[in-house]
Amino acid sequence: MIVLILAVAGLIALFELPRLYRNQLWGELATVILFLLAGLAIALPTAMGIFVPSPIKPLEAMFMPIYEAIKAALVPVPSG
Amino acid sequence: MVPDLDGGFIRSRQVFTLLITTVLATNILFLPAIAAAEAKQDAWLTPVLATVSGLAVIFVVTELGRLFPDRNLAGYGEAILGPYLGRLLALAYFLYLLTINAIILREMAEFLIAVFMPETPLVVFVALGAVAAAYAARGGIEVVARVNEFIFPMFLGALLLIFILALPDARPARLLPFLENGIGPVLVGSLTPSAWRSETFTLAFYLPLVSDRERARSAGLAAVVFMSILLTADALLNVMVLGSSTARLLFPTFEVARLINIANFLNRIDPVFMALWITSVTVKIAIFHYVTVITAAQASGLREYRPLVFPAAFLLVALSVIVFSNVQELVAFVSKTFPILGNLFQILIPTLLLIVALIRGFRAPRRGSAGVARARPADAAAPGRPAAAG
Repeated sequence: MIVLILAVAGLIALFELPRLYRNQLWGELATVILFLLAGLAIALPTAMGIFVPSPIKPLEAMFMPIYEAIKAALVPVPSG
Repeated sequence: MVPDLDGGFIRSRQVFTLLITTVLATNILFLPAIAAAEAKQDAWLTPVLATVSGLAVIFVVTELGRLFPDRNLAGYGEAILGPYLGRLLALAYFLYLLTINAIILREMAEFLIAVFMPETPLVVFVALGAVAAAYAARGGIEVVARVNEFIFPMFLGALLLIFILALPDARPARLLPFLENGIGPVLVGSLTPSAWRSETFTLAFYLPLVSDRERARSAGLAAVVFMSILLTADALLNVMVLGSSTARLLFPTFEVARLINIANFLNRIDPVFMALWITSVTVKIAIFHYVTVITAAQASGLREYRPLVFPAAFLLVALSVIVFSNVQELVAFVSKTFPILGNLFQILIPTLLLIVALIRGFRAPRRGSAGVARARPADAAAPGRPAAAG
């Protein structure tokens, strides 16, 4: 699985990067590398069995209380 | 001027079908159970209420599009709030869209695993879906719109077929008692549908590419009304066929399709529904991926978005696999966090942008003046963009 992930990332890099380098599109080049590295940073630990925390956890912590408050205001009896 | 990243053009008729696919594709499968969890037998009222937010979003988005004809939602912030806050807002939208698309991708995979192929690893569905969607997104909005035009009538046909064939199983009495616990549960149950309906805000990202712009608003409003009718019919049917168990099932509409049995002859038509549903969700993911990558390119001031499509898809797949550890977490997020988060990004922020723009005195450029007469100092001071910033 790890080999496969690296191969996919490598293929995408081979497919996109040479043209960007030739045309001196440095911003595009940097963004492509950033996306691939971010993807690898998530995918490789997951493939090795290391738990990667989900980015939605902080979102849930921020927004779920608002939902619960709205619900409590609108539904007087807690429903199952 | 914001550089035109795409180079393609779509018609307002394509906007109509694009918007319907954007909302309907996943809504039809996931939402009925979530809405029914709060609203019970009144679940069919929630799509009606959500229509209001859908119409409001189209109105706000097209009004912003009238004020800034050559910008999209990732560019409005820069025009209205200045370069720094604007870039920050575009970055926030990029992260939001990426996360939401990872969730949509996961929804598709979870559905396929739950009902058709329980043995196949998750990453297979996620990766295949992302590759297909990224390939379409790389072609530009024109390609996505044309693929959608081809698929949409078939998806609609399959849906209507299911509606008609399921009618013999429908028991209107299951809709009673009407408003048993007052309007409160229906309002709470409408929050998620409202967040879902306002996904029509993606129009704000490709509005500058609509060639007959003056018809974009009516096309958008018509799309919202049309999808509301379909979703209300769907919700009515779910409750009438499945009764109170609608809330306990994961995919009520799909169960309705499975229950269809005409004279012990016409049955098991759910694979038809599945095939068309997958194509439709793939188009939805393509729309979101296109919008995500366009936003990323604009947030970092790039001249091209196409090189970013596949690298972003790689990140999308990785994110989609780790975003939830099981389908229950997905349902919990979609029913409790997404209603607030979605409404914030899709309704509240665009509305605030419009209000700030109006307060700061932006006026729509006159027809034919090609955006030159946007007579505000803030805008005139920043005509050029920094060439390339990573």
